[in-house]
Amino acid sequence: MVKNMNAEKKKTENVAECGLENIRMKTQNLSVFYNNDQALHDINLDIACNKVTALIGPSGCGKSTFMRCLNRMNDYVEGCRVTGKVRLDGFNIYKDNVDTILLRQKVGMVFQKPNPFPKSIYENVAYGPKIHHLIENKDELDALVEKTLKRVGLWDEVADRLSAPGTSLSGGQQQRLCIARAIATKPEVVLMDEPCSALDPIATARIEELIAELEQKFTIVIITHSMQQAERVSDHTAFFHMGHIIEAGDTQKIFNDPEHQKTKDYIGGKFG
Amino acid sequence: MAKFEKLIKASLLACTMLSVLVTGLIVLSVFSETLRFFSHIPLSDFFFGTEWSPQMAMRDDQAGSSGTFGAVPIFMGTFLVTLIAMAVATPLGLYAAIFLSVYASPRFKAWAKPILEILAGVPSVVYGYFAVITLAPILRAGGEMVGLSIASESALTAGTVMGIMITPYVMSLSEDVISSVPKSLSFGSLAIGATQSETIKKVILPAALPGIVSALLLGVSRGVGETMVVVMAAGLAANLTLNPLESVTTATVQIVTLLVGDHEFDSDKTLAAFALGFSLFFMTLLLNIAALIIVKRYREQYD
Ligand SMILES: Nc1ncnc2c1ncn2[C@@H]1O[C@H](COP(=O)(O)OP(=O)(O)OP(=O)(O)O)[C@@H](O)[C@H]1O
Ligand SMILES: [Mg+2]
Repeated sequence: MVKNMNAEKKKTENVAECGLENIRMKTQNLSVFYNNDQALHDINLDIACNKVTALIGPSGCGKSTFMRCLNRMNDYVEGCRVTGKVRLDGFNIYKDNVDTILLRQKVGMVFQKPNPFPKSIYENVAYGPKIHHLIENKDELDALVEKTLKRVGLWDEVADRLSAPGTSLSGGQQQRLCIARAIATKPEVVLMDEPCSALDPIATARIEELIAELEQKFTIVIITHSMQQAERVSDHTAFFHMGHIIEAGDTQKIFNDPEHQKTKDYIGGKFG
Repeated sequence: MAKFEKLIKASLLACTMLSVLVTGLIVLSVFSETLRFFSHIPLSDFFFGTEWSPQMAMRDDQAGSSGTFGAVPIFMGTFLVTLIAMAVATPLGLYAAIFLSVYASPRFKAWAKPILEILAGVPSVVYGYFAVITLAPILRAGGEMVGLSIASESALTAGTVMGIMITPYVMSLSEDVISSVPKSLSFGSLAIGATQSETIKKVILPAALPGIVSALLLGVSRGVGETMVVVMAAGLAANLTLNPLESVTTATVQIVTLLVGDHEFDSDKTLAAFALGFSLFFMTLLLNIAALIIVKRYREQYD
């Protein structure tokens, strides 16, 4: 009986199993052009399932560009052209007939600057589930909102003012609200583009804790300019430089025993 | 240097005060003429009387027995024409604004927006021609085909043309408002799988709503104050009707007719123009206040 219920729960939680070789996403010969300028050159990278992958590299090296390929947000960038393949659970998301709406439900995104909608805290979290029709009634939605806010550690802080505007929260709270908004659609992958760069150290520490917890259920890709942060939160690291991946692999290996001189220099703070 | 700064500040202040002063004086003078009008004609006759015929005496023993000044048909006509104008300008202007700010490519927008803004610079007398010479016959012919008789000077013609005239304003102002909604909000919505139109409906428009309401209000006040188009297309007869196919008159049209011609500027007839003008001013003011309240309410509920 108990076992059954657990199975039930697991189903509704919609945890996608980690498939082939524990790889959630995979890029193959991915190149990106802005008009005629090539921003990424033949990127091949595996993103491990339910692990944290950090993308590091100097400004302008193409980290954000790469990240936007993972949920096709580049579709909205004027003049951007993508070649090569990006696979999610083995399936090429750059095929013509891909439902980008469904894709972005599975691959959510959190931005550098917290961008809560000018709606209530509740509505911010409920936004995704509503548009994707993930819930059937108000009770389910209430439960989902509560569960999600608890998961990002915001519930105790906002439980008594769910109808207050999301914009009335502090920066760190806003960013956690945005993470809640992104995971409320039950994605498999959460992309975070410098999620802490607008936050103070305490708020940053809370987000890092949160990332460690989310790792159990979600595959996370994070861009950061803080080497300490990359080292603290990630399992795998990819070092980008001028549109190429110089080195990618186990975070400990990259930080303690990098193979390339450039990686060593960047991590050691010689350029960047 | 500090002296120079002070001088600049003083002259800027002087300019501000001057324009405030001029506005104040205008309101004051219109108001005092209006008071004079109402010292001859009872308030209730003006605001509740349904017959407007400034040349004729209502009764022989009437104070200032020069005509009847029941302004209801005029306000009704103003209301009707403005309503039709907004029914045209709101969807046209708003949809154009949404298209330009969200869907159009930057290249398209770069030439389309200026062209639409040129429309706002077309003198209203030209819109007047257009109403009389082009639109009125078309509407009449169209009406005849479906068995409706449309007066050659109708509220429909005047309102439609006024709406076309206001559209560029509504479009341009709303476009600015919609474009100023941070892109990061749309991206936030798109990145969790909302479609472009869901994003517009649920994120962009609500965020832009206060600005859009004020754009529409500006459109309404332009419509209420617009003179040339209605002089040419709406008519002079003060019919009390809400039928858009009939001829109606508006406050601005009456002000023009009351003041044009050779008579002294202190008869009840000319004073009535001031009373109408002051009422227009007052209505616009109320409209603005009402809109502010609506926006505030909506924001509270929305946030
Ligand atoms: N919308 C765009 N149009 C044209 N070029 C772009 C666009 N976005 C990025 N680029 C170019 O692509 C390259 C990679 O930019 P990207 O934003 O991916 O770098 P990044 O690694 O995220 O940098 P940062 O650390 O500063 O965020 C840069 O040379 C940039 O100028
Ligand atoms: Mg970036």
